[in-house]
Amino acid sequence: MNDKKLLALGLLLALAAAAVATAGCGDRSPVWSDPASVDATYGLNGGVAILDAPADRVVLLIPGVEQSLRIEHVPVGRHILNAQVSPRGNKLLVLSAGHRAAIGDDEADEKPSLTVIECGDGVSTQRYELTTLTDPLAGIAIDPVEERWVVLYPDADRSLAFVQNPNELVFLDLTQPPATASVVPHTLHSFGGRPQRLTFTQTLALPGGPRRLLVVESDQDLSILDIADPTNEISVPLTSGTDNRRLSPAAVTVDDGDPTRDDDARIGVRLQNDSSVITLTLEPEPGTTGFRPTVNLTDVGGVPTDIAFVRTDGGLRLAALVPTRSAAVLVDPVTSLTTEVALPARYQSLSLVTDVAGGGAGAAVDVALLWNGTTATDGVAFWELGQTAGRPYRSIETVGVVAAVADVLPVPQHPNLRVLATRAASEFYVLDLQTRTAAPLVTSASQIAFSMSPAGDQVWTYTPGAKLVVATGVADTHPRSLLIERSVRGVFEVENGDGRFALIVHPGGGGGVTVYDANTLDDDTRRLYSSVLTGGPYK
Amino acid sequence: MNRNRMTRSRRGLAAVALGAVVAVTGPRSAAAQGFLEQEAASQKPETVQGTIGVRGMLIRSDGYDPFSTTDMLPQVSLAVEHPFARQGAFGFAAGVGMDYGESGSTARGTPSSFKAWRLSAVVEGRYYARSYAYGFARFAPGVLRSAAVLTDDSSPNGNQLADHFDLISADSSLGAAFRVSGPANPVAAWLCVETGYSWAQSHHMYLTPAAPERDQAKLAPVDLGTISPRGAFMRFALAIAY
Repeated sequence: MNDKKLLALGLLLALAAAAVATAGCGDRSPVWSDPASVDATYGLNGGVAILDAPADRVVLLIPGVEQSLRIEHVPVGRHILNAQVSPRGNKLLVLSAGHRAAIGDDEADEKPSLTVIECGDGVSTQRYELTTLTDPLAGIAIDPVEERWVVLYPDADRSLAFVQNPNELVFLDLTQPPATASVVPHTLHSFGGRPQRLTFTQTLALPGGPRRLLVVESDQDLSILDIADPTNEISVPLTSGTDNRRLSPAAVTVDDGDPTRDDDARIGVRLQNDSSVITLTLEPEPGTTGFRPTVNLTDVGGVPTDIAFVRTDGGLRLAALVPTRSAAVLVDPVTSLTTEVALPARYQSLSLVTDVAGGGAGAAVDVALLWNGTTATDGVAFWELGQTAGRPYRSIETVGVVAAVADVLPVPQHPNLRVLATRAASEFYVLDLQTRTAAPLVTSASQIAFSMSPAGDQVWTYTPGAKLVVATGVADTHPRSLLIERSVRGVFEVENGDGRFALIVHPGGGGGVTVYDANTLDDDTRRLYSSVLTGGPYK
Repeated sequence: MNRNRMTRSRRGLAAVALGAVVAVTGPRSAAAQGFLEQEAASQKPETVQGTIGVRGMLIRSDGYDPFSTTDMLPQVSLAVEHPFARQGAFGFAAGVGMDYGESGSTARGTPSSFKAWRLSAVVEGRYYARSYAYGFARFAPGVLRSAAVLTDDSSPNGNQLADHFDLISADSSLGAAFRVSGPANPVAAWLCVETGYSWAQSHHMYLTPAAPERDQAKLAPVDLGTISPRGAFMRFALAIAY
């Protein structure tokens, strides 16, 4: 071998070595470099779901015997826009924008999609491709009654589409399998408004047959659609053509009226910027919809903060709370006559509790719970809508809660109980609607958060960011604290075939979870999990 | 000389063992063979050789992804060998080698590191093409001790999560060495370049936080999948022989 060959051999080896070095310049998924976060965590009936947006996946945490934890990775469409839990808590719906592959793009083209993840005895996934959309609508509204219908609507906060039709809705029937499901787009007959809220009604007895409606509130008008056939639409402008004020709806309430009649279903509307309430009575009319809304506008003397249809001795009324007058106003939807009822405090919210605090379902008169007062000691009150001692609608009974109640939380499986979250968040109450008593529970920290057990026998109280978690029995109001080593982001009680478990989710790092047996709450049998989001594989 | 008295069978064995190197260097004339044998015989035999170098190893395994942004595991290498059985242009060496390397990265925002410490026996066949250059083929079976670590804020008390594991490994490689010291210098310095394949067993990583025995049952491991720490490698080294 001459020197040239020897040099060539040396160079060959050096090149081979350099090739090894070059080949090592990484094919790891960029997802590994994106921090994990447990900020978007959802409690489902059988487990807990964490939205892992950088990895385009949902991580399901399913507890099992002896506080084991099965971690399942469910891939969803690329570029997650929105996610929502269905009202019954058995499904998670994830809306994704997909990916539009340019020429030479390494990644395949992917249409916008809606992934429905069901977590029960097992995990099942269905992905609906939204092939009719290029720029998907980012808002999701789920039918709370049957969980059948999903309506996608424009959400300017989540979408970056260059041109967007704010009145476009897309209807999807989840009872259809993805292969045959049709995506039905519909544009509202807008008078210039943009949809703000969507309300699904129960089945209403309407002219032409019972139907379910979708009520869409825009910032200046109202649209009423037949869910099964969105082309059957009636839009109602709230602003008179002779008036330059723009009336914006703040909330709606719906009542079917007499179940034997099909001409008395009503929609009540309160306004953000006006002291009037609007009643729409859906009366028969020949045409495609079969009904026509008759509009009644009634001034209640102040901007109402809550409305509900209530049954009184005098018949159906639309009740409006007017805190500026420290009063409730009852509006007769037929005559528009009003009756003002003075209240002991400036309550801003009401909920009907007739089922347990009144005469039960089908009672002739309703009982309402009043709450959310404007001062720190307003508490709650029961409002009987019947006649008492000759004073119609004036039977108001306060409960000894000396705090402003910010929220009234239902307790699953216990219709007679409510948890009252106070505005000061330094205490809460367990309210028994039947005995009309409220058991106070005082906390040493403020900014407390709540979650309920599916069995409704305990309420979980915790302070986000701290290490404090307490389970309080709603029957005996006995608090039991948990031993928590890491800061808490959320607490979820999960019940499945293996038992009842409390999953305490911890932020930081790859996300942690502490699993307790929710029956025993025994510290010795708890298990601590770390980095639940760290594991791959990633695309 | 004693080496020249090596039996024909031993010479044949050496030729078979270094066949690969011979194939690369190609045929050479009998005159050149005689020249090399004379040249080799004129040098003082080396009895011990120490090597220090840097090594880069390509780990394609997905299990390595949490610990490095690239597939490269940088390492330092140390070896001590005893050259023996020199016969003409052929020679053998044996010894022990050690490679240590670590890489660090973030895995979904969590600081991570991977450490690998390999102890191996080294068997090396050499072909001296010149007095200042030789090619070699090396085989190095050994043990790979590794540690995969996450420093996770979500772990109890912010402790590290770690998995320490031992694997059987074997390296095979080809290389060349060039003498950079003068022929008269009794201490020879060689620059070596080497490339090959490093094999090791696979291991499923379960990272656990450190805790007293009584608490172990409360702490669940983190499953980071299977790592196969094997792949092509290259090494640049400086060898000092005496």
